[in-house]
Amino acid sequence: MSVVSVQVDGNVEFISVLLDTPESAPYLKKDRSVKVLFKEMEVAVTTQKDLDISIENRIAGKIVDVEKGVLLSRLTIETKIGQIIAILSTLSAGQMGLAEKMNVMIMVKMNEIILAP
Amino acid sequence: MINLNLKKTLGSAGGKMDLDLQLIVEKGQFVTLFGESGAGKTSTLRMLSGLLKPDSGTIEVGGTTWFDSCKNIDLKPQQRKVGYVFQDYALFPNMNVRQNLEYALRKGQDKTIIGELLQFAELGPLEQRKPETLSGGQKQRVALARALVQRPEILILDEPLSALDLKMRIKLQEYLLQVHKKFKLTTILVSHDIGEIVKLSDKVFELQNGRVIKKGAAADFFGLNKTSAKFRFSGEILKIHREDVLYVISVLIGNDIIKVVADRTEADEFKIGDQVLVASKAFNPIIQKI
Repeated sequence: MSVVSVQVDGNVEFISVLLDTPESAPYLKKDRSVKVLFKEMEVAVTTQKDLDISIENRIAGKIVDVEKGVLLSRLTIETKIGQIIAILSTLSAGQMGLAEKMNVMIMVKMNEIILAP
Repeated sequence: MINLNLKKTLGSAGGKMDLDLQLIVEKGQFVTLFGESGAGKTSTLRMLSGLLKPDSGTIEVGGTTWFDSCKNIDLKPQQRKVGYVFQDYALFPNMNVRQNLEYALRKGQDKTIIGELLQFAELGPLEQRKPETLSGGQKQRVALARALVQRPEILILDEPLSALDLKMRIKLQEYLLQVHKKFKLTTILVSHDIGEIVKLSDKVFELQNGRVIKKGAAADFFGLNKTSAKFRFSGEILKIHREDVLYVISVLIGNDIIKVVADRTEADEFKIGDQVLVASKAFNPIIQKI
């Protein structure tokens, strides 16, 4: 098993836990470029800047679009590394008052991050 | 080594197609020809085995010329060391299992090979049975044994397992690998089943409109090595439908239909019938005893 740290443009660091090791997956080498993948549904959103919570990956961003469904809502968030889609319950979006132009932090646990060479 | 350089104008469902194909297969490799129906896969194999004459080009196998349109060389099918297995078995219904194999013997060929093949294919107890009394898997084992009677160097498998159920398919896949190794064959498979292709082949060639458009090692070819995700399967998209702000994509994997949620940016790229890789982290699935 490995915990891999990936530098994404704009000084954002992603951390991923993998079953692979540098021996089993030769692409796990320093300075080797990889793609970082995660599902929209795994993106948590908070309005607090320094939330004390065990989620390793966080990026600051601004909501640029909200598509409200009956059950789920799809947020488009502009960040240093580009647009990220977050899907969360319409209930949460309502309770938190999430709307366009709000500044938020997005969070993804390290076990949700897939690396692709 | 098999070196094919073939040109042939084919009449296909969509009109005429100009097959123009260069293909090199190393001796002892297990390779797959992959691609849509009408791409020229079966025609290529028929030309290799001498059942269809190319308009021009060359076929060289292990340094011997089997076909050369310029030098007017064209070996007859029976002079080419090729075993051919078809999807529909093509057994003689009026002959029993042993007779089906014996019919394939060359004139004057030693008959002991028949007993060896019956034993290897575990067909001994069935040797007096007529094909109609056999299961699909048994029939395909007979067809395969028959293809080996003349001790071919090349084995051609044209969708050999697509008529069988999943369990039998998996069993016969193992058997095909054993045959490939035991008889030191160069094997060429036509298949649409990505799981099967990855399991069996060393190399994949994708054909489209009579040309090779892509080739590579099997797992790399389908991108299966291209993510760290360990919970991964390949399958075919059956259905895409929108639910609320999401899309739900149904994928047939083996005999199971699974569902994957996707964002619209992804759903827009897919259509029904697409072959896809489905992957998740090994950390995420739950596992329970049933």
